[in-house]
Amino acid sequence: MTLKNILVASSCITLTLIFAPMIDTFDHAEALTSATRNVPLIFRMLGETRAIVSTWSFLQADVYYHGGIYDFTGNHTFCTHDAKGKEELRTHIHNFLGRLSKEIDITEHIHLKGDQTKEIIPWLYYSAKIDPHNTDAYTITAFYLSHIFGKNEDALDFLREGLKYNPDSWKINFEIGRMYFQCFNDPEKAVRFLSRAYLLQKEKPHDKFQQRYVLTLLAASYEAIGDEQSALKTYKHLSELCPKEETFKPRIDKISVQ
Amino acid sequence: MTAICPIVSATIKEFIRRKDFYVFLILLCVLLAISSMQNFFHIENISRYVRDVGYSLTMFFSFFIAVTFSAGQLPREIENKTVYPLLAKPISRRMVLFSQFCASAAVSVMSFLLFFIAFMVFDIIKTGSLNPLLFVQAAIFGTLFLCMVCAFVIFLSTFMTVAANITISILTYLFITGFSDSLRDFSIYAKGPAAICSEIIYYLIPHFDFFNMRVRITHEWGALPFWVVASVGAYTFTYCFFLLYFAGVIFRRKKL
Amino acid sequence: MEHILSIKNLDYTYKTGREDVRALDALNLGICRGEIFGFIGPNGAGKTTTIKLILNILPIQSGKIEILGEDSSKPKTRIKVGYMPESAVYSQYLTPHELLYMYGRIFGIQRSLLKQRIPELLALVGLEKEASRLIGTFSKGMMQKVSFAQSLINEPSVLILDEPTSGLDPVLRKKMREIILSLRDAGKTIFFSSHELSEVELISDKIGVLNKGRLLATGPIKNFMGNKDDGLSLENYFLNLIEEK
Repeated sequence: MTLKNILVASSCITLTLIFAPMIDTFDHAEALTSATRNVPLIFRMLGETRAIVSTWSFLQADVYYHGGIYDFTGNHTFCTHDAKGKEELRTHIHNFLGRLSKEIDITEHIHLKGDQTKEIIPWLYYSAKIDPHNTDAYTITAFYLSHIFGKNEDALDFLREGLKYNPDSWKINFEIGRMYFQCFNDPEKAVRFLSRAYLLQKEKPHDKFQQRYVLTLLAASYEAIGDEQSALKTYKHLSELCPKEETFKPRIDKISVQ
Repeated sequence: MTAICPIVSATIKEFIRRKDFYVFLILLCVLLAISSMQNFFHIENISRYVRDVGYSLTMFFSFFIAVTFSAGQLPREIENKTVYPLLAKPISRRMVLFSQFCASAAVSVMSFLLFFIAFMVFDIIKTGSLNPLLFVQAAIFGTLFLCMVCAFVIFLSTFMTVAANITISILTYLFITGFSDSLRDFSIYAKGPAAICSEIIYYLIPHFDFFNMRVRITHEWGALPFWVVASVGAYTFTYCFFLLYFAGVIFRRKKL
Repeated sequence: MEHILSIKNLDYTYKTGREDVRALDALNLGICRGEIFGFIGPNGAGKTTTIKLILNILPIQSGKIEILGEDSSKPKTRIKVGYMPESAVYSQYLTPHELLYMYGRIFGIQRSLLKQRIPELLALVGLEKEASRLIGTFSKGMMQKVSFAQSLINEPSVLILDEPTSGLDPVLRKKMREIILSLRDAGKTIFFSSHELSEVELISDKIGVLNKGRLLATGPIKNFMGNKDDGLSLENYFLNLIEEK
């Protein structure tokens, strides 16, 4: 690989980054499926590698959330959260280079808090943009935008964009419904999205707790719009799903009385 | 020693006139500018990913310059027959090799420091502040890292072709940064011959992972203790010494 | 007469792994001060190997070489030796001035002295106008001139030239011959190897004929020329000698 080739390749990448938005306006998407029609050119060029890069970007967000420290192997043998852990570690390592390496490593376990979590947003954003079928990128980004930064409008717009590429994603439908219910105080729209989320969820593998979450909000939304029959039906379904949980009985009793 | 300075200064002039450095500098500035100008939902002061991209690019470009420049130094001299007039001067083969190392290291470190300054400028513009001690340490570690890379590549260049040298150097770097932690952990718990072998390998491999300050710089973890910096410096000096010593032994016997 | 360059019982074998190639076989040579010695032989005779051994570019396996009375393997012996390699390609990103400066500093020559000497050398070889031009833009002839100039930067007592006129046009060859003769007149000793027997005829005081690592003949040039009426020339003598042996 000569330097000349490298320079040519680097120049092509730079020019593509600069001119990609202009190329995007050119309508050449007719042959493409609707799922990829509106994906930016630069990301379409990556082909199937998109999924890998998107996953990597998503993982980077998690790494950033943990202050740059992430044990991909899951081996926490030498976590040194405190001085005791560090001292215990030193007795195990007998060679100087190993100890030096451990001194250089950062092994504290932290989570970003509050405003600091803004640092993960770029990676989540790129993860969603590179692979629009990465639904978790949309839902988690929306969560942080609305819960931490109070940007409900931006969160909703982002979720709608995700819905465009993933109309059959129960998670995105659920998040939109949740936002309408909790942030925008619009239970009618919430019911529409939450009920669709419930229907889609039944077709896909899911766990009991995810179903519980969807149904709980759906039931509350039905109550809010005054559809007590639907609310009652949903609460009964919830109590069958989680028989040991006592929280639904009072709601069922109250609605039954009404 | 009088031979080293003129060779180094001539090599630096040569490098500046090649213009490779300017391409990397411009590319770095363009990519940093693009990263800095990105707007994520109008959230202000998102800086860590810019720092991460900037520092990674700085190290990558410097590493690339160090490897490609060092790998071609000796083979190019031999191919162009300019090693003969050099050896015909009152200078030993060891000194020729050492001056090639000094020249490569000077060029790589010079590039790195300029890239690093550009990165710092973008970081200050984006964040409005920086930790001076941490950045000084990162500059020191970057310098030490490049010296070790140059010594390693020069050592390989005494018996490898340019292409093989570049490939092996890059693969070695990737292997060390990816697996040295696992090797260290294995050597701690292994017993018997496996423990001895793994410790020997752990000591022999060039520890490029020591110099990686990316996480500290990006996530503002704070500077390292002075004794750690001094130990890494001593390790680099010792390792480079042995690499260049063995390179000198091989070069002395090499048929030119 | 004292020999400024003395080679005694020099042997060299290239160990290639498959079969060993004996490049030099008991070579004995002595070159006196102030003479031009032409070292000739067919391709593969061992001329360049001899030069590399003199300059310690190749380590001596057996035998002895002395330059100015000192063992040639010591770096300090080469302080008064100048060397012009065959067809060297210097860094295309340096100017002749910078290249000569670098080599001059390697010799430990002071900056003030170099400031004076470099323009003189460039003028001697006819490159005074190209002093600040990058070597990468030079023709082959100009590159040879640079190569020759760098061999003179330390004002050597002994000058070793490997094919100095190789690839040069007749005008430049004549210029090169004139410079070599003027250096001899200034008291320098010149040892050069060449395929151009006509050049060797014109400038050498003594010659040595090498073939397959053996010195077939050595002595003053006039011993090999004979009478002009006989129609003998160095080329005829050389060809006859090579065919006999």
